[in-house]
Amino acid sequence: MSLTPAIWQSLLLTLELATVTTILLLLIGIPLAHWLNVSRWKGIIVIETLTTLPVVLPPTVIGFYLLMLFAPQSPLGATWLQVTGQTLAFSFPGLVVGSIIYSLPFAVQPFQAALKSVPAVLIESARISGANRLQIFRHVVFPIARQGIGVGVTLSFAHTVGEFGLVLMLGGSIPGQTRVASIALYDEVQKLNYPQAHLIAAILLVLAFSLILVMKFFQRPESDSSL
Amino acid sequence: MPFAGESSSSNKAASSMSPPEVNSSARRPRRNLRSSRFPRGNVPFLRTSGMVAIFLTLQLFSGFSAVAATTLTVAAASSLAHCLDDLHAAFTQAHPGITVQTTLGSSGTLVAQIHHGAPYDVFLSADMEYPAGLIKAGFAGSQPPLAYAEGRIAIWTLSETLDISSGLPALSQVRSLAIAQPEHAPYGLAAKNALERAGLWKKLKPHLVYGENIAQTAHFVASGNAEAGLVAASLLHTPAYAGVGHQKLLPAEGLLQGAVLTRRAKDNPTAKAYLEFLSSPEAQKILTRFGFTIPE
Repeated sequence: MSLTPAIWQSLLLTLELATVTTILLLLIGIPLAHWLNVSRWKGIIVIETLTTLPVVLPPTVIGFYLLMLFAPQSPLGATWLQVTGQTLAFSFPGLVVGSIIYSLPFAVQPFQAALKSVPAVLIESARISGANRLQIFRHVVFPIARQGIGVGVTLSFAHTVGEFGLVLMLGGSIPGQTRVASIALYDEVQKLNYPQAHLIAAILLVLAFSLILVMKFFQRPESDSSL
Repeated sequence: MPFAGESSSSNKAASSMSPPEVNSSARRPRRNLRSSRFPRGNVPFLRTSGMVAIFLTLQLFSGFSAVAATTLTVAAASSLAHCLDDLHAAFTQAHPGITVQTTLGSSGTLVAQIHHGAPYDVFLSADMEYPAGLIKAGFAGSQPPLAYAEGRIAIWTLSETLDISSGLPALSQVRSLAIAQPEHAPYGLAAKNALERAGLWKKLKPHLVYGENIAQTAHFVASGNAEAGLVAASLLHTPAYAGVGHQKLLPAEGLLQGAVLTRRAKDNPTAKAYLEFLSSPEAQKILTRFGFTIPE
């Protein structure tokens, strides 16, 4: 009993989706986390709530609303259709958008904690010494926040691997495009194809275990990181 | 040296080093944590919440007893959405005292659930093969499946630019076509067969979008995301979709809908009465209203 090409494809697609989502979450999440930390705007609490919302919202709700949002009748869907000639729903980019929303809190919250743990006096000393923001991030903030950022990266990656309800609403189960491993598993079960289902489930379990193991490794303090 | 180090308190700005605000009530520190208004604890609150808890628990148990009264659980293919509401209203009117609970899904999914002991009494499939398979595997009664209706597929689109009056060949340039998953939804399989017979399967395969069941397939079209879809004609007669967009009924695929009693209900008189009802003129009138044809 070995992996059929179709199942291989779904596993690779899952990894691809998780990788792309995680990279984008890094780029979006760190600035967002920084803003949430330092902003004195009264409305920031609303933004923070919106960022945390996907933790409790059923993924089917996100998928349902996104399907409406991506429809060619809506402005977003129409623009995308014009630019790319494809609908945003039932496509890999559509899943990426959905996954970013779905995994946002799992990236932003560890990032926030990591950035908060950097002593302010170090940032100020660097600023007094004439460093610009990018240099501060690279030489002061990142080395200290590295572990927390690693936790956020691993967690959002693992969370995207486990995505199901969102993809079910939004994906259309297209092989090679939107038929990720969790959907493939569901389909195999419905076809009463249990050996294949077992294989996919076992692989996903091992993958999830390894990812959490990596994350735990990031979480352990290598040395006392406070001053 | 005060600095905002590893702060667990909210960090408004990196450089907030002001001394903590003085709490106005700190002048009179509270020693007695128990409120003087409720010296023995908040009895009124506890009494009310206790009564609420008991009330809710009784409701829970009364829920169970309602199930113990004659309830029939029907698992049906998603193509029967809304049609089943009307059918069950007519059935319960003719048989007062019986409650019918419905579960909808793709036929293959429901079969898998029945294999694993799902508590359904009657299974209404969108084809004849799934019920026959259940009988063979010993999960249904020994009676052959009752062919209570024949389902039809229709092309459905909300697009104003796509002209589907010529039937399937009109779909050759479509951007995305939604069908139900052929591997476990009979309407999806019928759609695949129709496309293969029209010589369009290979061409349209890259443009296909698969719904988990026929109802989700219709939703893909209704939301506008799929340009067109091959959906169950019965769904196009439901209140939500009737008269919406453009429809083209396709020639009959011989999609006979089979009904069968599950193993646990094979001697259940209510379940048998239900099957009889499905063949009655009243039920057939409702089925015809929803676009099903009645087999001879």
